[in-house]
Amino acid sequence: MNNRLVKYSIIFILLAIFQIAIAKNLILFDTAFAFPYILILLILPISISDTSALMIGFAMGLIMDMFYNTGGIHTSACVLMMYSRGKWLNLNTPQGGFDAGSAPDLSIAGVPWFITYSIVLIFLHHAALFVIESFGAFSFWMTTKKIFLSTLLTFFLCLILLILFERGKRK
Amino acid sequence: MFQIFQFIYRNRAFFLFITLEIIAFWLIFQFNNFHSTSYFHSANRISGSVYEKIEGINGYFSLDEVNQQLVTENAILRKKLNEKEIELYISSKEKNVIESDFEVRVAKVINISMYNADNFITINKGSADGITPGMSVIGSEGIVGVVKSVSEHFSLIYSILHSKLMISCRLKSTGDLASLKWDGSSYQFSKLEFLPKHVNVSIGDTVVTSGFNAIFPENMPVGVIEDIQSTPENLFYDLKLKLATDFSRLSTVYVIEDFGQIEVDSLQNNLFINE
Repeated sequence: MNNRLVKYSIIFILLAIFQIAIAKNLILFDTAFAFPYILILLILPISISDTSALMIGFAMGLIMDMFYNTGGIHTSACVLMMYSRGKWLNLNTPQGGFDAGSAPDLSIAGVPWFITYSIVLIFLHHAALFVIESFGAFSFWMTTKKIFLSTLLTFFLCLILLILFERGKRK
Repeated sequence: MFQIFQFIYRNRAFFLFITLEIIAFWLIFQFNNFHSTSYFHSANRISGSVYEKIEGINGYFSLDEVNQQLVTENAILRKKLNEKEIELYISSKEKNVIESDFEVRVAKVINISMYNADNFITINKGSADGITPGMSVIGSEGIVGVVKSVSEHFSLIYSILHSKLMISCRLKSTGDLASLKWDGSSYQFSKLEFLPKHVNVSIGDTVVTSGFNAIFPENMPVGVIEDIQSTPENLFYDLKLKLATDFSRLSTVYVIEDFGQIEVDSLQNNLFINE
């Protein structure tokens, strides 16, 4: 248990640094933004309680808001995503249920399961993020374009990072 | 009573969710308040020093470009200096004393955003270097923004790419007033509002600050007119402005303290009190 706490804390810090130092500057076509920091929120263990999941999302959101100068936009998006995560996991339980102590990553039911699980949550997070940010200021189409393209970009970055993690684990 | 607690406990995740969302939205409104003194931004001690370290690494990759920029700026300043020297020579004959009303501080940009709805810049000078909120910030090419809040060694700056910042400008050729307001489309362009239709304006006209804004000194370059639209039902032109400052290459900025401005401000305040 303690071992796992250390492991997730390290991933939390590494992803936060990766986001601030690298992914923040990764912008495609002026509309696709990358927020791979939410990977840590996606792969938290399934057995984690709802309240701690919410608090971890809240903490990550606060850190991002501090570095992005966005007040509380990332925080509200992360908290919304973490609240939906539990419900979405219940709906997406594979046959026979989850193994005790497993995490919702590629190891559960392969890539297709992870795609359906993660892309909905990433979309929800990004939709909340861009809608709150553009509150009354931007056009509908611009915001929609940002949400869809950013969801794709974040998803692919998360997938690549996850594959790298898995490979690191095996060695 | 016990049942209420039981109900709350059973739905604790939902109530925690609501509480955290309320905190998050309170933070958003707090931050959007123009005169907020929140310390929860990229110019506080922790995030400021993190950004400074990152910039310390990234800075090496743009050394060439920065060098080029400084050389060009040097050339322009040298030219101005020559003109000034002639002026000084003339004025010394007339026995006028020229005093500087401005104090300029050089700072390095350690974090900048251009693609958000409201953009900010973090610089590596703070209250320890004499910077206070409300001072204007310019780059070597044109205006950049206004200081929002300061910590000991860092400052957070409202970039002119911010939806709530309006800057009083005028056309250099005719002297007519207008307002600069960013529409959020691109970091290279902005909108110029409230220029009346009787004014003769053409593409390529230069726009400078008016000095009425109580923020920027007079005659700082803002941009060049890129596109003119005029609809019959509007009283004003719809103008698109190409900003003089290229935010994607911004690395060094100058924070300007205007001593005259304090006097003007206090004079105006006195006027209102006396009324």
